[in-house]
Amino acid sequence: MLGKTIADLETGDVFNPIRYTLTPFMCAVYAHAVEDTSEWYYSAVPPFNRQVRPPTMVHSDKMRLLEANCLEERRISNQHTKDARIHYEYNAVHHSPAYAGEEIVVSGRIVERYQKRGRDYLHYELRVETADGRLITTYNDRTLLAYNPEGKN
Amino acid sequence: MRTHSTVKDDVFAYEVGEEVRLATRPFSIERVQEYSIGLMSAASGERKPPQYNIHTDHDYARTQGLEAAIADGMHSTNWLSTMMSDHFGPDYLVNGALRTKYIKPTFLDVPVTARGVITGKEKNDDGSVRYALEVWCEDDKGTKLTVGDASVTVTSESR
Repeated sequence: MLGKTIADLETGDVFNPIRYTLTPFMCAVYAHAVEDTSEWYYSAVPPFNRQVRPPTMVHSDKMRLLEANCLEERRISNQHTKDARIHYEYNAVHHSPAYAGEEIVVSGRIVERYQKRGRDYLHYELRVETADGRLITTYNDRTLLAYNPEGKN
Repeated sequence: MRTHSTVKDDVFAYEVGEEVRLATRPFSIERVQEYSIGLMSAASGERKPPQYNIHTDHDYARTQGLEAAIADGMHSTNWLSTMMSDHFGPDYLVNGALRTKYIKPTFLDVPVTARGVITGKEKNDDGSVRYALEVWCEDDKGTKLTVGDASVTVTSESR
């Protein structure tokens, strides 16, 4: 169910897509945070000749999508719930770079909500493209809704 | 500085069985706080302070059933992603893929090394080469904390 918390998401939920303009600041601040000194994340240098973002920033796209679709758990706004979410799997395929200045469109859905060893997981599927339809990244993600050492909820 | 000696000038020169890696570094509290700043700032478009969560706050992590604060899994994924682009160049951003699973918690201050081994090399008719790799992050005892696989099709020697 959209509109509430991440723990309320269900199999088949389709997120309302989001749009934003990728800025030079976003590319650089993320690359800096992970100590990646590749210059193409900081300025317009060859071979791209335009500033690009680290491909792992698809994870921030997931956060943006959740921020817009889970209104009672807006983690970018520091609005949390009792349980921390534990990321379990990242799976990204890069189709083209995302350039600073481009309008980015992020869509996605919950492929499955399931239990394994007494723990609840969400399987997300995201698609990131430019406003004019160029595919940037396709992404699958599995996240544990709450951690407990014994796996008993 | 992420010094490492496994980078080759010629991106076509890697062979199956060869290892790639980055320098060993700990996920210090300063690093996980910087990652929090970077992630939230990139996701919002404005500079944000670090958040207090299971990655930055030991006490809060314990309330969630963890022994202590753990590094964000995406932090390890990012080091592996950097390892790929450092070794295989900009084609990784265009024709690359990375899958990671966080199989053990990565506690702060434990020395961690991002590593990989080339498991496949295919030459295509257009002259490009597709590499497949097993990748992982391990601690100073050799225990794998994050595991996965990656691929890239390299089309030029530019980096």
